[in-house]
Amino acid sequence: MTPVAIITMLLVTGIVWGGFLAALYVVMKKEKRKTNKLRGKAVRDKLE
Amino acid sequence: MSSGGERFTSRWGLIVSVLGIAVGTGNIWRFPRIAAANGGGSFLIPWVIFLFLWSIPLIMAEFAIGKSTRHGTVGAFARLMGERFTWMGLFVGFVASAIMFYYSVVTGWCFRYLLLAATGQLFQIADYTGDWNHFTLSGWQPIIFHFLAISFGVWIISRGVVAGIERTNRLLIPTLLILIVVSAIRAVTLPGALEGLNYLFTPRLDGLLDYRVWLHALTQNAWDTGAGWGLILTYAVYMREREDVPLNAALIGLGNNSVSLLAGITVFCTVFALMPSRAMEIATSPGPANTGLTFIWIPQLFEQMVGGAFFCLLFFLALSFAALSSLISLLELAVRILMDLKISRQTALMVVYLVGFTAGLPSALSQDFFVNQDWTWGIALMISGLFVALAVLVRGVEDFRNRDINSPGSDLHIGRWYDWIIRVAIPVQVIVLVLWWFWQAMIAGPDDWWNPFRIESVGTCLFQWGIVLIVFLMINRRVATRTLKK
Repeated sequence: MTPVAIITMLLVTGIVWGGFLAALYVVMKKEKRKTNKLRGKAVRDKLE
Repeated sequence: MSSGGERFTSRWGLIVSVLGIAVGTGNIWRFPRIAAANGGGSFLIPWVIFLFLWSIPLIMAEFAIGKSTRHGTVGAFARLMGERFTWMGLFVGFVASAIMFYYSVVTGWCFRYLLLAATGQLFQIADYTGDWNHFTLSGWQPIIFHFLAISFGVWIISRGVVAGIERTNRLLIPTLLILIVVSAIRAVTLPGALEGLNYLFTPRLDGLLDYRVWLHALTQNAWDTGAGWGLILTYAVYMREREDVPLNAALIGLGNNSVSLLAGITVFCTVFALMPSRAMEIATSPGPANTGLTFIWIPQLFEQMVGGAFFCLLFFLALSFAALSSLISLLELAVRILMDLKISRQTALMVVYLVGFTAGLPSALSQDFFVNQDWTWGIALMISGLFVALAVLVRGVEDFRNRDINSPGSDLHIGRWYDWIIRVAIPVQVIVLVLWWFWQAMIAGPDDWWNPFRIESVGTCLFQWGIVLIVFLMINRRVATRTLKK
């Protein structure tokens, strides 16, 4: 592969796949936090 | 079920379902062909730019409209813009439904090739073009597969939003992503595959300076992300109350284009590795009914590969999953509109089933009719995108952004740049695209571009759109009253 092709590949896949994976990571983190919060609340309710 | 009824059970349920809308046959058979025909790397750069200038802003708008109005396209436009503009929602809904009529036929084609690949009959075919012609001209075969596709789709949505749409997409979309990643890895590891990557990722200055490359890149984004079709708006009706809009929209747009890129890598590497001397001819071939190389060249390419039968089966499985997940969203859009007209879900399903099957028959029987419908309603999708932007403008774009997009529960904050895109960029893109496509049709048929009975002409678009718009303007008030009635 030519250097130009490699740079373009890194740029395009970086934006598209990198953006997708980054968005996926943020969603996973937020959802995990939400689940943990709900789980904590359920445990507290049970203890009370 | 009322408009305030069923909801997706989780954020993941919503995300995979909306990805199911976006990822369709256009990602797998259209993207590689258009990228090849427009210089590979020269095409990818504008394609990425228009993802942010067209697809993601319109996906955000659809999410926010559906979530805030809790109505399908007709009710949403009536609520957002006022009763006088209900016809716009009818038009957006009809365009997607008209696409559903022939998309069921396309899904049927995918099922047929999946069946052939699964039973081992695909590689026994000596002449793939002859087989395709025999299949499409037989009359009864495409009808049977069209019937199977629409029946399967209706059966899925008859189970409801959660048990039908969400559960099916939870199975289809992750499997589709795995299949496409496995196919891409296999393709990249073929000897000579780097030549394909080299072509796909090498931009040329003359290509980048060619306005046609930019317009094809915009068209590809408009057609394959599902932005502005009213489908995402329909699924957004079932979003939970405190649900993010901006990050979900970005995830859908980027996810859709990620699948396109993987499909492009798979096809380019396979073609350049297995048939290097004819690579460009194969990759740019429009094929029968614009299906590209899918039904003619893909089986021939896989035939030459070690383990080709298995990978060919994976390819057609992925294609069928992509088609089916999009078909169910097209069916749900029509059902949702009828439900908003106070028709029960069961009756709406039967109406959509019968009308969808009957209206798809001409496309199953005639390739010319199919191409005409694909042309007419494909361009109308850009008008649908314009209508979505106009709805936001009438509602007040700044207020819409602050209240409906940056709503409680949002993970990202959208700034003022969004207002500029809706006010200027989307309308300009629609006007330029529609005029350009019409110009292309006039060049292709300078003597009869006005002829409404020519397959791909300006006349056929204006004629069919005109009839539909006149009818919708006539029933505007009656539909608005019924839809907005408590």
